[in-house]
Amino acid sequence: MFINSINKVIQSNRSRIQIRNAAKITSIHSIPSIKTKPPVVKHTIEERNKRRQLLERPGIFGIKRGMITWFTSEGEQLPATVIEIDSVEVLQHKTEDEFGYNSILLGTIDRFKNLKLGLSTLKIFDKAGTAPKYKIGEFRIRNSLESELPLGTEIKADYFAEGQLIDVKGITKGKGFAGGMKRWGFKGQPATHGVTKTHRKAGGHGGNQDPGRIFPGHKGEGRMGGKNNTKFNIEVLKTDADAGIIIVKGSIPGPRKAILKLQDSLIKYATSKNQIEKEAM
Amino acid sequence: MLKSSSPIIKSSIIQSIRGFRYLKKELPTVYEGLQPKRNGKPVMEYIHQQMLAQHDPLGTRTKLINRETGLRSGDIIKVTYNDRTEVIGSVLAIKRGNLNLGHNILIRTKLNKVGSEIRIPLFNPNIRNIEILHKPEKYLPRHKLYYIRGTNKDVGDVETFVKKLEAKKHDKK
Repeated sequence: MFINSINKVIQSNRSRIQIRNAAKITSIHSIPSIKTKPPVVKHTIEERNKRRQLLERPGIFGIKRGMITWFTSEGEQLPATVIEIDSVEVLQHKTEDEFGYNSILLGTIDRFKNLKLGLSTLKIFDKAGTAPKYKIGEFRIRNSLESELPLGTEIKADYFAEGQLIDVKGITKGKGFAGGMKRWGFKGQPATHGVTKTHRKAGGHGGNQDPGRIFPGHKGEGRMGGKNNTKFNIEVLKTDADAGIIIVKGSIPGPRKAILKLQDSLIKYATSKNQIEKEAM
Repeated sequence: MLKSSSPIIKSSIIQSIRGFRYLKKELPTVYEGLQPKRNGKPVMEYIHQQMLAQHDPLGTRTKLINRETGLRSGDIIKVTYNDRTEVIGSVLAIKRGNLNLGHNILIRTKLNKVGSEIRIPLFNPNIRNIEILHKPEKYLPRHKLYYIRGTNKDVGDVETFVKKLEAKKHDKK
């Protein structure tokens, strides 16, 4: 507005004021306007569900039982772990219309004594028609599988094929309060050359008079282990549906009797809804 | 609002607070569990039996590592592979596994006056046969004979030793 008023003054007093050849400011009204589309809000739950990398079918629960040696037909010796699949059953379906996301509730290990469950969870078993379970957990999936896996169906060990790649989730063994050398692989100090009483210490933490403290989150000594850990792309060597046993190549996080989550390899099989749309186009 | 002139309602409220309240809702039914798999047998024992049936159906290898009647460190054995190659040596140590097939035998010989050792996985499918050639009358102490390396108790050239033994047997006959 201020510029327009000046222009008017200049035009009226053209004879009196000498005009320099300066750049002329064009009026806003002279530019033709175009109506654009309103921007799509991507920070919603529905859009996030489309972006998320998910599997087509849920994983299952397993129990770690111990390690064995495995011989291939060519005479190669491999370490392998034995996992038990103990009465894994479908308990509940959570759909996107009701809860905002698709998932399946599964349970393992039938137990009737010392259950730390309330009435509301006992009702879930009643609806599904199964015995009360020791461990319950949720597995997210891309689309709901209400027709494919009805309530109360038992998932057996031949759910995974032999030679398939899977991911295994578990909680690592607790190591207690560990030093920097064990926890982060620090070098420590030399054994000789005049070194006294400091052989396994962490050394400098990067502090000085300024800032006068160690920044939070710095690597050092502390509680080690007892945290979630996943092993990606492990090969399945053998499955036995009647006995409820899966044998897997290599080691797995956690102690014996620990409850694990097994699922198809995320790197190989997981896709988002947006990716499927793009491929269809 | 409750009126003061309605003693019946008042008394009913007090009763409901003081008295024992029964659950009006029905309790959920509890179903039976699934049948136990493997007839209730532990997983590791079950899988170990299956592995033994696959890798050692006749039970010859398990007899070899029996603590009382099987091999002992100091014995001389001959191992033949599937491609008919042979290895002869005296047993230094036997490593045993618990409920798995991870048993090894460590064998020591001298080839061209140089001590050489081979670790043999017992249930490897590449191994055709393991044969006991000689059992000494007197054994050295300990079950793991690592201490004999480079001493006067060390093993000699085992192959020639076995040949001489066979020659002696023929002479006696």
